[in-house]
Amino acid sequence: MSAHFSIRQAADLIAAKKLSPVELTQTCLDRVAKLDGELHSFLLLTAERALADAKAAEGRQMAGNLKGVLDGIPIGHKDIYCTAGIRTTAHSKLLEDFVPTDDSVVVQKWAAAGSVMMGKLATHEFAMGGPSFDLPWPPVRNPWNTAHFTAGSSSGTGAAVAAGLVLGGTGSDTGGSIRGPSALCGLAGIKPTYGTASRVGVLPLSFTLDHTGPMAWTVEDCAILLQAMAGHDPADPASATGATPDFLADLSKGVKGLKIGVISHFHEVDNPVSAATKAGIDAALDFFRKEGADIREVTLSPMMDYNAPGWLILTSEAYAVHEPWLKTRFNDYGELLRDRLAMGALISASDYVQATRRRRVLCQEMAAAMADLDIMITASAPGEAPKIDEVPKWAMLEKPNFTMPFNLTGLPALSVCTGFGTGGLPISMQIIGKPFQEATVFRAGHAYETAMSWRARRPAMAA
Amino acid sequence: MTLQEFGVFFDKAGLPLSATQKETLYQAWPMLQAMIKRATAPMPRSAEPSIVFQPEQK
Repeated sequence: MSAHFSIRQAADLIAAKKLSPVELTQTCLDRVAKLDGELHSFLLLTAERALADAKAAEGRQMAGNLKGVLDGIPIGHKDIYCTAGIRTTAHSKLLEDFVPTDDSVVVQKWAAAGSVMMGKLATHEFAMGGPSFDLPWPPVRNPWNTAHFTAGSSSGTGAAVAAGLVLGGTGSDTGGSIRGPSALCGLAGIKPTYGTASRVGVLPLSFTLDHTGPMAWTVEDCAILLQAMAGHDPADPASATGATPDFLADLSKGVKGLKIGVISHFHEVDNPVSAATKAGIDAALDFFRKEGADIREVTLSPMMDYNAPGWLILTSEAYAVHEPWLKTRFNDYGELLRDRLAMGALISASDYVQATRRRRVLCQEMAAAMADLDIMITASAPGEAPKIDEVPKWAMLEKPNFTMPFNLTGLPALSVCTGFGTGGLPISMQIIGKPFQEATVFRAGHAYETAMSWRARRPAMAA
Repeated sequence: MTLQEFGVFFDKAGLPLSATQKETLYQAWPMLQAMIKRATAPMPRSAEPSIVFQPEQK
């Protein structure tokens, strides 16, 4: 079998008994064997577990009692998601031999849905440093061109999904760690509303900014995966208490009548994107307009006004998480992460409190801007993936990124591929929704994605 | 702030940075400083946004 399937396609074939979960899993394992020596997306391949899961799914398939859409689907987990009895390293020397006793809640939920666990996927160290060349494992390479960066921190999931080593995977997003690699690897990836999916059993970075979420080839697949991971968890103090929405409910409704705000100054003035990225966003807006959406301009505070409190809060909270190790095992961290974390010693308690107050003002501004809109659109990334050895160490301090504003405000934000740039690598846009309105975000993303014929294109190495 | 004064922050925090490591971070300090300034710029008294504590309701 050489074809690439989305989760929906594979699930339909499995349900119709036209695709064997074991055969699908073996195809993914074969791709890992062929490609991952170059990509480095897996930190630990759990082939025996995957085949056992696949055989169990095949048994349910034959008996006619499949658990649902995810039954028999090969997935991977970012290596900050704890897995019982399976090494969980955060891609760091500090946790090189850490074997958790319990699964994280999301890992439990996906397993209960019948998914096939392929293994643990690479990350930037503790979901913050990267790309780092001084860790026990090398950084992940972009399957569209292995000389290029995947972005991070969910770098392994980005590369593995793009190359078809798994059909979907977990990511985490504190300042853009789901949407960044989704953008640079040409996937769909959503940071849901803060509190949508449990973080219990996921190694923390920044308590008030951390989000768990899915990454997959298509928008529809993201909706399927999010449905299987969302829901109230009393053990996570940030967990939302409302009923879990049906994320697939509006998927095929099209965009007619949707009110779309474009935050042009984010990607044209505050951090000007490449010509190809700008053209991709403009083409998407033309598509939405032709399909009957109402497009308007939105003006917010400059993007750096959102990034500044975001990075102060992130650095302060991450410093608090890592302080004991920073004092005793400073040089066991990779250079990038330890330098970024050490900056936390320079941020005062007053700075942190003022940043949280500023956050509230910006949340109010964003809510007011969205009051008469259904979604907003801006870039996910400035352009195509840069070369992996040309990523500035302090990129996040030099220029504002497009993703942090929606970590700061907690709004759902989806990265969608908008085509390819002059270097042949993916370009993207970001679709932002109101709190807990992921279904509308998916609706717009799905309408756009399914209308684009080039969406079937995969990296040449995985073709 | 001089490099020496800068280094005192890490000494006080108990972080075992070498002189070279302090010097590397000192190069990035102006960028962080600008970010702190932007995030902590005074807000109008009338706005007075506060951070709050919400007791759990069971």
